[in-house]
Parts: sequence; C-alpha cells; structure tokens
Amino acid sequence: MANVLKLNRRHFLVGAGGFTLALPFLSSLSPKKALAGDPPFAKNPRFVCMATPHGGVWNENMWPDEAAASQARQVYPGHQMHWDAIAPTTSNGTTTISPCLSAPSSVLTSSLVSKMNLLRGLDYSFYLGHHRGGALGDVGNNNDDVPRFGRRPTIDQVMAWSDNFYPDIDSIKLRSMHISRGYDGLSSGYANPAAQNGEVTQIPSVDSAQILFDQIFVPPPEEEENPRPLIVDKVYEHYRRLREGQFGDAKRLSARDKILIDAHMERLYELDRKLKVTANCGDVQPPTNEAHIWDQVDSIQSATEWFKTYNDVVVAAFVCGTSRIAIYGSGDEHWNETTGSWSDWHQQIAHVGGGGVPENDANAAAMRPEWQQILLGTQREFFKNVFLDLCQKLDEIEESEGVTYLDNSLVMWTQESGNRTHDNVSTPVVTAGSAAGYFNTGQYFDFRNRSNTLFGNGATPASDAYRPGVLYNQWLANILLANNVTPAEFEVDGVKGYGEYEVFDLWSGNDPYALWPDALREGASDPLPELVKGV
Amino acid sequence: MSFRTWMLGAVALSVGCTGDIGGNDPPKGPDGPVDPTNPLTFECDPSADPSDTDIKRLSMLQYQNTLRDLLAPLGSDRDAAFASLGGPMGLVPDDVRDKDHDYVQMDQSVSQSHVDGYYGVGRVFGAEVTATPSRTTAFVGACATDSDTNNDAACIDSFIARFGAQAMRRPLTSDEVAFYRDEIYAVNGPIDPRGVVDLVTAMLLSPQFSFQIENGNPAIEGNDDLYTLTGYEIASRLSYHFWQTMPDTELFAAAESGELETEDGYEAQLERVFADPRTQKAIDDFYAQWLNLEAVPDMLAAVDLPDYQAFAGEDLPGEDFREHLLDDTKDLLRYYTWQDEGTFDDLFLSDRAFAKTQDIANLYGVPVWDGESDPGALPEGQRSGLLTRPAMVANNKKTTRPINKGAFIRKRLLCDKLELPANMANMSSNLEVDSDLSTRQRVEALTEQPGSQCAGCHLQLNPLGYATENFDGLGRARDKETLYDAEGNVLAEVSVDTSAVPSVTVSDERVAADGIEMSEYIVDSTKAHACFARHYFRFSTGKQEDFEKDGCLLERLRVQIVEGGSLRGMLRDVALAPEFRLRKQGN
Repeated sequence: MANVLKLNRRHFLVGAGGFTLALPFLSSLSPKKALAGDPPFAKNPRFVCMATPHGGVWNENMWPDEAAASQARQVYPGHQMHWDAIAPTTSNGTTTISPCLSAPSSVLTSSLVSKMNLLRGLDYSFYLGHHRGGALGDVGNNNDDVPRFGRRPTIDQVMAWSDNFYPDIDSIKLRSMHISRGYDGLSSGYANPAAQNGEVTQIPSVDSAQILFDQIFVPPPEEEENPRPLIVDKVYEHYRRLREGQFGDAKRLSARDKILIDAHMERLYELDRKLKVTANCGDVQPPTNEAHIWDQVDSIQSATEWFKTYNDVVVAAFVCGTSRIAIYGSGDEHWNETTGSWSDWHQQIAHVGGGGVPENDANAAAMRPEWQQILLGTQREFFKNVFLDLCQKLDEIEESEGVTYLDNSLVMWTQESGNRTHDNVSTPVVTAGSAAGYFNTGQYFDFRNRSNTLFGNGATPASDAYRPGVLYNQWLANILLANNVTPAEFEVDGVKGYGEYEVFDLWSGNDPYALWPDALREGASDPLPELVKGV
Repeated sequence: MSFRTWMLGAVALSVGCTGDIGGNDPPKGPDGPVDPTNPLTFECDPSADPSDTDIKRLSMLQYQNTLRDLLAPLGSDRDAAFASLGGPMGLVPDDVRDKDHDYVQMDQSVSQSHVDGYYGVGRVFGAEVTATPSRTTAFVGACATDSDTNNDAACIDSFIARFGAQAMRRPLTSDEVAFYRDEIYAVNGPIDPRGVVDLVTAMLLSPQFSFQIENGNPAIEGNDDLYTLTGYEIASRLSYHFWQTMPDTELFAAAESGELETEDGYEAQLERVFADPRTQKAIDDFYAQWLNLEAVPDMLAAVDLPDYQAFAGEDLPGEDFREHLLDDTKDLLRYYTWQDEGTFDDLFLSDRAFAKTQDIANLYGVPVWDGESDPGALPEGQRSGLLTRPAMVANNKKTTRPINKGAFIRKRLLCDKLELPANMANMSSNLEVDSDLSTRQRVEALTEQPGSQCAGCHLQLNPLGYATENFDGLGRARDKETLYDAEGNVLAEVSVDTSAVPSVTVSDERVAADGIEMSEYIVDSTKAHACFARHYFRFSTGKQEDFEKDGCLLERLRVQIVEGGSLRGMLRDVALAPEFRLRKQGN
C-alpha cells in the first residue's frame, strides 16, 4: 500500500538527524511506576483494543502447547498458574508462535515477540452468546432476547472520562477513537459521561479514515484577519437562558428530558473544548486515498489496506498527542477468500467450524476440520495484517531514549469467544507493549488451574481440555490499573474487578463456585502475578 | 455426556426456556389461557393519562430530510448543497434498531459523534448557503447583497427570525432574535457571511433543532402535567410522523393562524398531509421495519456453488434479485394501503401477484405485472398473503429455514415473547449435511426430541415455519424437496409436509394444512391485529407501549383493523386520537 498517510517515521525518531519536534511527548523522567533500571517510560500509557467475532480457534491452533509454560506459582490458594517466555519457531521466513499466531519473520520479529504477551485462561463466569461489549466489560451489550445484565460503560470509556487517565486534556481532540468494519459496538458509554447518567449505549464507530483523521489532526495555525470567536459556548448560553425562561415558558421538561438535553449540552462543552485544542502534529499529512470506502473492500488485500490506513491515523493521533485510546472491531469473514465448501459463514464456518469436537455429534467440527482451518485462517490474517501492523508502526517510533510508542502502549487483541465458538472460558488475549512499563512482556501466561478437573477430560489437545482460569473481570481491572485508573473509579458498590459476575449452574452437575471460587472475585482488582511487574 | 451437551441443556434451563409463551403458568381466561404480556385486546381507561411524552431526538432520516427542506431557498442549487453535507454527515451515527429499540424512532442515544457531526454539518451548511452572492441572496435575502448598507441590520434580524422559526419549528421571541444578533452574529457594519455561517451553525447545533421539544399550552384543568400542544407543536407532530421532516409552509401558516388548534382546521391539514406522497414513503419505512425487511438475505452467498446452481436452475439469483423480492412484498403492502383501501386481513389473505420483474414472475408462474393495472391472480390454492411471499420464505441456501420463519411469525407478527436461550446459534447444527431427510425432518430430529430442553421452545416456533415448507429457499412452490450433494448431484427427492399445529393462540390446537390455512388462523385469532397496533404505536410515538396508560390509543388502533376498517384509515387516524395532540410531562 502506498503511504496514504504521510507520516515520516524517521522524523520522529528522537535525535534522528538532529530533528527536533515540539511534539507533546508524553515521556517522563520520573514515571511513577518505574522500577529500578527501567527506561524512562511515559507517565500516561495509551490503550488499544482490537476484537474479532466468534473466536472458535481450537486450543491446539490458538495456543502454544501448555508445556511451553512450565514455571508455576500460586495465584490463589489451590490455584497454580504457569508461564514462560514465548518461544517461537522460525522456518522458511515465517515465525510461528502457534498456528494462529504466525506471520512473516520480517513482521513478527524477535524484538516484537519480546514485547508481546499471550494470556490464556481468562474466563467469563457465565455463558455469553453473541455479544459486542464483553471484550471491554459491557456484557449487557449482547444478543440475549431476555436481558440478564444491565448495561455499563466499557473500560475504555471509564478511562476516557477519568482525570487520572487524562490528567491533562489540553491536547486531546478525541478521548477515544472507534474503528470498525463488520464488528461494531465494542464500546459503551453514558449519554452524559461527565455526569455519569443517562442511557448507556454503544459508542458509534467511524467508517472513514479521513473523518477520523480530521478529528485527531491539528493543522498548523493559520493567520486569519479579524478571526471570529467560537460559537459553541453561545449555543449553550442560549439554551441556558431558554431553560431559565428568558425566552418564554420552558419549564416543562421532565427529569428524563433534562437528562437527555443535559447530555446534549455536556457534549457541547466537550466540542467546545476540542475546538480549542492546541497540538503540534509535525509533518503528519492527511491520508490521500479512499481506503475507507466499505464497498471497495472485497479481498484480504483491500481489507488490509483499509485497516492499515486506520493504523496510520491511530499512530498519528498518538504522535500528535491528540488521543490515547483506540478501539477496533473487525468482522472475521472479511479475512477469508475461500469458497466452494460452504455457503453460510455464520452457521457453517463460525459455528460448526469453530465448534467443539464431541465424538457423538456427526455434524460437529470434528467432521469438518477444513472449516476450522478456514476460521483459523481469518483470525491469523487479522493478527498478521492489523494487529502486527499497528504494533510494528508504534515500535518504529521512539518516544524517549530507548522507549518506543509501543512500549508506552498496551495493544490488545481478543475474540468474542473462547476456543470453541460461544465458549466463555479461556477467551484469547494477545497483547503487545508494556503499558509504559506496567507489564512484563514476552511471556506466555497460562492462568488456568490445570488441576481443577471439574469439567473436561483433557484427553487430547482438541478435545474438552478445559480448565477454569482467572476471571476476565480481573484482566479488565488490570488494564485499568495499568492506565492509572484507580479501583475507586472502576469498582461499583465495592465489587472487585470490573463487570458482571453472574454465576449460574451452567455446568450441569458442577458447582460454579468450585470452578471460580470466591477468592477470584474477591481478588479481582489485584494485579495479576508475574504479568504485572513486581507482583 | 459431552461438555457441549451439558452446556446446551444448562443454557436452556438457565433462561427459563420452558416453551411457555410469555412465561410460566399463564392465567386462564374465559376462552382459554391469556398471556397478560400479550393481550388480544387492550383496556381503555378514559380517565387515565397517557404515558409520558419524552422529548425526541430527530432520527437520522428526519434530520437529513429537515436539512434538505431548510435548503429549499437555494432552488436548483439545493441538491449540490445538500450533497456537500455528506462529509460531516458521516460523523452523525446511524440510528440503531436492536432488541431495546424496535424502531429507529426509539433510539434516543446521544453521543459525542452526534454533536460533533451536527457542528460539522452546521459549518458546511452555512458555508454552502453563503458560497456565492446568488446563494446568499436566495438564502438570506436580497438585502444581504445589495449595495445599501442601511438595511443590513434589519436584514439580519429578518433572517434570524425567518430561519430560526424554520429550524426550531416555532417563532423566535424578539429577545431570542436579539440574542442571536448580538451574541452570535455580532457584526457591526456590512453583512459578513462568516457571521451568517455562525448563525446557521448555532441554530443547527441547538437542541431546539435536533430534538422535538414541546412545551404545550397551559396545563389542562385539573391536571398539572398534561398539556394540549400548541399549533406549532401540532404541525411538527404531523410532519415528523407522516413525512419524517419539518412542517411545510402551509402547516406553519396553519399553526400561526390558529387553524391547527381547531378541530376542522386540524382535520383539514391532516387530510392534506396524509395525501402527500411523502406519507407513503414514511409508511413504507414503517412496514419495512415492522417486517424487518433488512434481514432478507442477499441471495447471492451461494450462487457460485455447484449444488446451489443445480438447485436454482434457471432461477439463479442475479444482482437485483433481492431488491425484486422486496419490491414484490412492498408492492403488496402499498397496494392494500393506498390503491385498494385494503384491510389488515388482506395482507395475509391476498391471492394477488405483484411481480414487476421477470425473475419474480417466474417464481410465481405468472405474467409480469405492469405496476399500474389490477394485479393478476396467483396460481390457485398456492399462496396467501405475506407469509407465502418469496421474500418472507427466502433463504441464501438450497434449504429452507423453518425455525427462523417460525420465530419471525411468533415474535414479530404475534408479539409473543419466548424466553429463548441467550443465543440459539450454538444450539444449531449444520442442516446442510447430506442426508435423505427433508429439512423439516432434520429440524425435528435436532430440536424436538421428546423431553429435550430444546423441544419446549421449538414446538412453539417450528410449526409456524413448517406450514410454508412447500416453498423452497427461493420462494418457489414445491411438493417435493430435492436433496443435492456438494457437487450438485441429486441424492433424493423427499416429500414435503406442511401440516402443523401453529398454536397461534395458546388455546388453538387446530392443524393447519399449509401456509394458507395458517394465515387464516392468524387472521381469525386477531392476535396479529393487536400486535400490529402495538408496532404502529411504537413507530408513531417512538416509545414502548404501556398497556395501562396507552390502552385507549392501542385499542382504538386495534379495533379499527379488527372490525375491517381500512389500513389506510388506521394509519391516518392515529393522528385523530386525542393523545396525538397531548403532552404528558412525566416526572
């Protein structure tokens, strides 16, 4: 793809060619989380979440063999976790961590591997069908006919409106960026996030890289003769006077009406603030292609171009310092070019191909291994073309001596389900970056309790080798902690971790509290051992 | 027992999927069980206030239509100016239809993207209307571009008052005009187009523009929070309901004169508004949402597969096939709404063909309809109304989808609320596996095993889908189901069984021989009528019905179609209900 976004990376390398940019580098010489010997990480990390639907990549295809995580320690009494450094293999120019996590060695470099983590054994403690919001904590955003959960803001929105995440918002044009193609609605927020009230609904995504760029880009200031002041605050003033009855009787708004209007007005405040942002984007140039046009995306190559354009914009936003959060959703079937053996992606590939392998089900994936290969292929293409592309771009730019933008970020990729479509256990999470030194990296973490055999027989890697791990809620809490958000900000009514804990008798005949005992919920705001530095 | 089997059973149990319609143990009524969550009639308590009338954000369609109407002074330049709004318009989110918002009119979310988009649209709108002197003349007035600077102050005041009244759908007070002039335009001297841009932007960014805000007349005596609407508010109710846009000049005039606050004047305007072609577009939109037509598959997913090609034969769908399918259904709806003064029952019992294209005519085996003459008859005894139309039974595959068809009828057309599992997809299997069983037999084997967790629910869904199994995945009539292997070779021909007990109502145990008879049962039950009244209520009001408070309006709508009144009359007369011109403030 052509450089649709003119981002000359060399110019951003600190010290390169003596070039100095007045960029709002977020580096800090005294990061609060720095440990002895750590390089100067930024004070405020950035967060990227990418999600793809379905999942259903079998254990053997998603993860390295569990023997590759051989070090052990206790997470909770009676629950051992395992970990080890990721040990990829390289052959014929391809680096392979697992069948899914495989890419050309020029992309999946040893350096990048050393900045990644694989997190196995992060569980939702309840059945979760098709959903959008679960990846970031709003499990109420799902396809249930009869709601089981209320809606709550996703963690990216908790961050976006946290003074601890954005202690200085003067340069922030967009608190969070939302990008999707075929998998929308990953983020949710209050109608009025400042007041934390109103309906919780999904955050819309943009469908144009150009529009996103316009939202994060601050062009060099232009001299204008007799510049006019902004009018947004005047709109607010008009409405204030109207509410006070200065323009006639306007006192008949109900409480619900006021919440809605107040939300609109609060957004005006935010708009006014954004219009006044000053930042220096250096020589970042606007994108010049039309790769955002959905209808033109009809191949893996065009899908790759589409997302790479967005990756460029996200990198530009980080470099400009005008946003620090990016959320991506991508459909899975867009990463497939196979034809001939199927006609219904959802039913055949995503469900049967991503299904389990019970020997007594003649229609299950065991009978259609080629469909699992197709599903696996789509997730691998996303990993290679989108996740790694962004990581590589962020890792090419140093933000301070020896510290790249990737080091100062947490880039996370997850899937809708676990290793069989609609499994709520062991939701795959792959990360890159240390969130500005908060996380150890380069590790394969297996949080599953391998000695808990309450379900699954573990006879073969592809069979029911399921073990309960730690709760996804704790992972969400760890993301928040890494991004300087305090438990006081994210815990609701003193409940630890982030999100819902509905536990019902999903596993017929088993005690769900034996699968995920109270200790896991009670400790769900704690840093995950070995993953978090110093823990 | 495998892990998967455990999970499926447990999931079904966990969400109470007992197969009861509407929940467990429905109380017994005089004619059998009555589901209180899905009544066949509605109780009207004339003394009860209607449910609260919350303010409503303009839907995307309403927003765009209103902007387009506001650009009318540009004349032939209007289309170009409107097209220029496309860039920032892309930031305004589409309205969402989901389980919480049955119609886009019910999506009241407010996001930063809305407000950012409104701002961007306002800036471009302002730039467009002042892009050239001729546009400024057309939009602001000749006084804005003439050489006389003495009239500039009055010119701006006049523009503020005129454009403001249109954008906010009410006259501005003199204080408001002064505010916009002094605080936002803020120019001393010749007309400054930049000031005009700011004025336009400010007004289009105001909640007074993007929401329908109603203050009403003084409260009705004896009721502190119930108001009749002002003429301007009535004008907006009429135009946004029937046209999905702002009032026109005549409605504004009727509001200003007080005509809209008289019964005769109101009814005269209602007739005019309803007769306008824009109303037909709005009703098209209602029907499309009611029948969830956007869910009709693209029909192209399998056209490259040899088995599908063998199945489709000469009827292999082309690029426009889906649109043709939809047109056939939409034309049926339009015909019985506008041309034939038809009834709700006609929608289910019609034996007319509306095939305007050869591909659809081939499916029916009838000549192409010219779209204007009386539509010809379908082959006798084959089809009846909506539920047997190709668009309603079509599938993207060589097989049919009885479960989906049944679920659509049960939930969407009959308003039954089954406590289904959180997601049915994981309970499904691959119905395309080669076999010598019909689709129905395979579905029965998978989902109706006696005593299984699945059967409780599926016995409420599947029969409604079985009744139309005499139509294949393209909507062609058939009496045999042909089974193909992946290469397109015929494996077998198996008989099609359409007899089923659809249980349209809980107590109805009659066997329906096919879709025609099932449609008759649906009409007999009047259950779909009550459900339709609820749907039209949601579309009209943008809110979920409250049986207790909205019973009068719901019953009025229901009775009108149950007693054979015309669809057209029912769709219009919602505006004759007292509630249409009232506002209940709420808490």
